[in-house]
Amino acid sequence: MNTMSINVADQRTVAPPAEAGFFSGPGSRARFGWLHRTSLPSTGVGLIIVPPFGYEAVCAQRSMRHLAEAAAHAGITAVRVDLDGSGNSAGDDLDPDRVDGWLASIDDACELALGAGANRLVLVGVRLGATLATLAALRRNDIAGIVAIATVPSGKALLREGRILQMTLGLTPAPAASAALDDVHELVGFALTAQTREALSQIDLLKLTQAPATAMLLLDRDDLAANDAWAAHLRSLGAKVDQRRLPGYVDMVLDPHRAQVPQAIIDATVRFAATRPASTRHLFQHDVAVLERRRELRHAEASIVEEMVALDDCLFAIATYPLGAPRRAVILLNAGAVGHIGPNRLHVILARQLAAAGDLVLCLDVSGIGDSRQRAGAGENVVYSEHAVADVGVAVDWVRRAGAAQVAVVGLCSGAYHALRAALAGQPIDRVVAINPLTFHYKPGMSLDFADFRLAEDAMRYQKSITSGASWQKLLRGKVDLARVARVFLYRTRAAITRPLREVLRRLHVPFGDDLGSELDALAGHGIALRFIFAADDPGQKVLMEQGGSVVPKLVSTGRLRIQTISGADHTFTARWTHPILLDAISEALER
Amino acid sequence: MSENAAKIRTVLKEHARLNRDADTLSDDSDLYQAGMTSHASVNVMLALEGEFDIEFPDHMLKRSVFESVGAIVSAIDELTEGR
Repeated sequence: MNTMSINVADQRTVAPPAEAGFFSGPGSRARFGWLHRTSLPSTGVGLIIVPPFGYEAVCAQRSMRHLAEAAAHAGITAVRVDLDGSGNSAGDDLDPDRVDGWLASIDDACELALGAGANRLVLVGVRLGATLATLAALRRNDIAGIVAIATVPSGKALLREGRILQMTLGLTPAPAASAALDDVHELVGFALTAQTREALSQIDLLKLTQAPATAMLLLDRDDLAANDAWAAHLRSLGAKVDQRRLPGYVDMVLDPHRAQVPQAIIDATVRFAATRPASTRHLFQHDVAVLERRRELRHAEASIVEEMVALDDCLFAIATYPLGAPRRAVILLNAGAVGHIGPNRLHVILARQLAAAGDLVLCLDVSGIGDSRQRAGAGENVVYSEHAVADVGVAVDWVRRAGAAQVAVVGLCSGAYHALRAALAGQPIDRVVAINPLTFHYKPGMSLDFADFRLAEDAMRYQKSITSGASWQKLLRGKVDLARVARVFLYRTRAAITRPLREVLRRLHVPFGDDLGSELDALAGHGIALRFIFAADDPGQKVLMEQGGSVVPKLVSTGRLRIQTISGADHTFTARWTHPILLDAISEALER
Repeated sequence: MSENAAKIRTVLKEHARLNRDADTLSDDSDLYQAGMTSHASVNVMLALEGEFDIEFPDHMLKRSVFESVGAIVSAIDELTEGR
């Protein structure tokens, strides 16, 4: 069926890369993944990479890609999979039967690897992914080996760790009026229903009654006690177990812009996989002639299409669009180093909502972030990349050629910055929706310690502390960093003194550097709608008001600039009760 | 410094990823302001459970219990009382 109404296919001007995204699974339940083909003589091994859950998967995404690439360079066919209801796969955390859905996703990936020429399979999983890989192997009889990274053998213990983490976030609880789901436990922006928790709590890998594979590599964390009991149990079941404690897990799941690729873990995994002996069983080999690059799905009673697109030889995006002609295009940019699914997977949800309402939505990974390659000579995982503005330009050009008459660019944090900068660079953008920008004039190498947003943040905190008895007691006990308070005061005083001078220069049309007010004025003058959304305690709004000066209220009064504020949210809208509020705010910012 | 406090500081050095030496912090210094992230605090809790052979009950799984050396000492004293 060819119902595509936008001119996507003609725009694929580059050769398919060694790695290619695909959709698999039943028609109504598309599961997204990546196949990394090897260009070397194949070892015959297919490596299925099972990610951890939720925010850990977001943080570890780059490491999982590096693992797949390292495997492909060692003659292994690697498959990365977005588990059912996660990433760009269909569904979400609130769906029933999550564990079965996740295991089915691993099965799909196994079949795809076999179809791509693998004759023996190795599963590798991280944390919950390791648990699922173990359970998936028990359902099959063709798994030659398992690599279990940072495994928590007890489902109850894994759930408890999640509960601890969620509580330490100290998020603002949902207002009484909001529709919180009683049976849902939040986990850093993601969710576990009562049914999912019950299913996970039944899992105890120490009680397995058969070995999931003949060979297992247990890569335990080097900062906590090793999984000796599980290793002993697996050996008692007849598995050949290699157990090691390696560094890397903790740094792999830091926030995405800080996360490090765990090279020792990758090297050990690839070595293990590459040396699995060939199976004596006859395995049918198929040939995957064509990977499915697009899927039609139902959302909000509308039929929409999701399609992976290569915008050029670096840039990857997921295009989500209606069957009919799109009314406009919305480009969603990375928030920091979070991949194209967006913080808390909100880009996927938003893209499906908007596409169902008639928009073409492009969830873009700018170069060097997520699944987009870095530009020649540029670094990977650079949040404020000098190439980002040009990358946005490529995306804008793509959606324009796809038939969009109106283009909005939406971004959070660095995404907001890049959206504004792209508009200032003269790219044909009609609307910018900037969410929680922290800076308006980023300088490479700038110290974040005394950046404007940090100073504003500190000033807001000091202001609150003035009325706090505990803060005064702390001061009297000499527990306050007075040097920092003094420096913040000094910087803020200097800014306060220069602000009126900047206003005068602006009114006299005397140009001066980094003049946000003039920049906003120029954008509005070109008819670009400027929409800002701020979490109430985020420092960006204060920076906007101070650096934009009198231009901000002037543009607000004419409706050319609008500001929405959301109380109780953190910088990345982690608490799930804030998600619908943010999505509504974005929808409103796109319309008004 | 009590024996427990010394052990806690050792755990903090290994797991909290503070931006300063744990020995230079006072008992009521805010560990989160000293650079401990939420993820790091989970590692701290798990390491404390291993070090003291305890399990923090649900009512203690909150940010305030782990925000300073002093708060952690109080929690561990409560859990190991009578041993």
